[in-house]
This record gives sequence, structure tokens and C-alpha cells, in this order.
Amino acid sequence: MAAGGEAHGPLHQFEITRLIPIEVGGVDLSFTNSALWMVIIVAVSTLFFLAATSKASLVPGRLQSVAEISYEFVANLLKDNTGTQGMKYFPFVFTIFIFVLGANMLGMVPYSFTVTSHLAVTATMSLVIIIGITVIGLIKHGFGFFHVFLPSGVPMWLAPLLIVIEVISYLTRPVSLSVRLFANMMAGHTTLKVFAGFVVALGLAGVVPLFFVVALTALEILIAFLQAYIFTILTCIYLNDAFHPHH
Amino acid sequence: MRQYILGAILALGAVTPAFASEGGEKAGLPQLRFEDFPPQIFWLAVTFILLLVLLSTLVVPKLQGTIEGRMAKLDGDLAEAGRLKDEAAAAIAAYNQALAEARARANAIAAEAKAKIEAEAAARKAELEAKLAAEAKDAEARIAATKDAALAEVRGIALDAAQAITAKVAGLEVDEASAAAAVDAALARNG
Repeated sequence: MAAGGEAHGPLHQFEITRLIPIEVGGVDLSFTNSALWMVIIVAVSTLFFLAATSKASLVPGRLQSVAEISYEFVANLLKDNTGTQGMKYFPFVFTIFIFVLGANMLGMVPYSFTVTSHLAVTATMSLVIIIGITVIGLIKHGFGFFHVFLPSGVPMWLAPLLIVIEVISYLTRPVSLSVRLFANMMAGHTTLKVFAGFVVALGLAGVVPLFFVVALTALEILIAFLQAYIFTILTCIYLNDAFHPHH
Repeated sequence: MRQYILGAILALGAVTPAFASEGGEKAGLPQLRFEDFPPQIFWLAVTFILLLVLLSTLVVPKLQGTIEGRMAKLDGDLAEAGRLKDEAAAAIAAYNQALAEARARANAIAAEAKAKIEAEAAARKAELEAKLAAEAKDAEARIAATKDAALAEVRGIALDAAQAITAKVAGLEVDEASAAAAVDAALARNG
């Protein structure tokens, strides 16, 4: 992580560097290290799935099994949370899962950049998801979608309070969705970096933090998967509101 | 615990510029530098849409086809296995029936053969018995004839002997008729 022997702070790994400066109409659209890793995520996951599905044998091999397990994993998440009508959005939810999982996992590669450790990325995804779900709900149910803010069977005198609470809860969804992912990725990577710094600083006693770094790396791989799973399942749960606003 | 770590990091990043500038970096959290947002959002949109298109055109239909094809194949194979099992059960039933029929026929044939053999044996026995009875009758007849002949010879000898004895002992010449009467009377007396 300390490239070329230079001493960098634990936050250096999150620096955005512009590899190809691009500016269109006064807007900075530079190709950054973040963009490079997004392209790598797309390339790696697409190549993986193309390789895994190239043979499509009846009895799957290892690669094909992984591809099918990931497909069925997301398909079951979506079906369990939204029913069969949600399957229409399967490609989108599947892409979210693969993109976030790919970003989190590739972020574990030393010297790499973790795309999902940036608020800009996770907030954009969350906002697109929540706004998209709201639009789908409004198209499907019209004003009936606003039942999502008032559960049925609630006494009328409670309604003003409850509607406020539900609206706030609805509006915090994109915040919690984006902050959870970016904060987890950032905290994990920063902790790893801090402990890795101790390994060098403590000399021979650095074996102790080294052990921690190894353990934390395993934990971070688990969290990389877990956060992709959480992001996907929350997308499914929120999508369910668009189909069934009466909860 | 994670929240506390994050809180500490955020505080460090925000409060101590020295910490961040250690490696000659700009102060503050890189995540909160809003001038870095537009390129990230733009390239996120580009790459995400690209991935969405690639996955939904190349990968998802193929995976779906493979999984559904396998389901269909499994269902078909299970149905075929059930059909073959039924067929096997029917074949076993037919075999058992054929076996029972064959056994019954074999029993019938055996019984018929036995009856035939018994009838033949009985007929041969009866024939043999008849033959033996006839032979026995013949033999009896022959014995009776021989006996009669012997008896007749005995009379002749007795007659001769009586004539000769009478002539020798009494010196009487007895004619044949009276001698014969005397012999017959003696034979009748003695049985």
C-alpha cells in the first residue's frame, strides 16, 4: 500500500487521481483511478461470466457452478422479497450485486482502489435505486403508493405523527444505504492500513499486528461479500414497497 | 465497533490536516472532496450501464436457459424413470402370469400323462391276467385229459392183470366182458 517506499497516511488509498483529464462543458469528467477500477470491475466480471457460461453443460463445472450460484442467489433474494413480479428487474438487481461485489472484492487486492469506498459512488447508486423505486411505485399505484407512509389499521389521531416518521424513514433510506456501504469499505481498509503501518514500525514485535492484519483481511473479505449482499437485499426490500405499498 | 472506528477516522481526517498531509496529500477526507464527485458519478453511470447491458444480454439469458434447461431435463428424466418403472412392473406382472399359466399347463400335462400311463398299465395288466387265466385253464384241461388217459390206461392194465391173475391163480379163462365188469366195479368201489 505504501507505493515506492513513500510514507502515506491511511487515507492515501482513497485519493482520487486524474489519469486522463477530460472536461466537457465545464464539467470535470476525467478518467480517474476510480474510473479505471470501475472499468476493471466490468471487464473482470463480464469475462468471468462469459468464461463460466461458455460451455453451459448440464452438469456444471466449477466456474459454471459459481456463476449459477450467484444467479440463483440473487434470483432467490429478489423472489423471496418481491414475489415473481419483481423478477422483471432481475438484470438490474443482478448487476448491482455483481458491481458492488466486484468493487468490494477487487478492493481487497493490494494497491487497488476500492470504488465503493467513495460516497459519490454509493450515494449515486442509492439515489438512483430509491428514486427509481419511487417512480416504479408511483407508476404502478399512483397515489396509492403513498400508503407506504401510513400503514393500514392505524388510528387516525396517530396518522400525523406516523406519516412524519415514515417519511423521514423513507428519506433516510438512500443515506443509510450509501453510508453503510462506503463507511464499511472505508473503515475496513483504513484499519487494515493502520495495522499494516504498525507491522513495519514495531520491527520484530510487528508479528503481532501482522497477525491482526491477516485476521482482518479474512474479515474484510467476509465484509466485502456481506455488504454486497446487504446492499442487494435492501434494494429488493425497497423494491417490494413499489409493488406492495400497503404494509 | 465499526461505527466508532469510522467516527474516529472521520474525526482524524477532518480535524488533523497534518495526518492527511503526511504524504503530501490534500487535507480532509478524500471522500468528502466534492470536486471529485462529477468524474466518479459520470464513470459510474458509464460502467454500470455497460455492465448492465453486458450482463443482461450475454450472461443472464444464458444462465437462465442453462438452469431452466436443466430443470426441464431433470423433470423429463424423472418422468421417463417413472414410466420405465411402470413398464418394468407391468413386465414383471406379465412374467408372473405367464409363469403361473405355464405351471398350470405343466401340471395338466403331467396329470394327463399319468392318467394315460395308468390306463395303459391297467390294460396291460388285465390282458396279462386274461392270458394267464387262459393258460391256467388250458393247463387244467390238459391235466384233466392226462388224468383221464392215465385212468383209462390203469383200467386196461387192471383188466389185463385181472385176466392174467385169474388165469394163473384160478386157471380160469375169464372172458373180457365179465373181467371188465369186475374191474369197473372194483374201480367204482375204490373211487
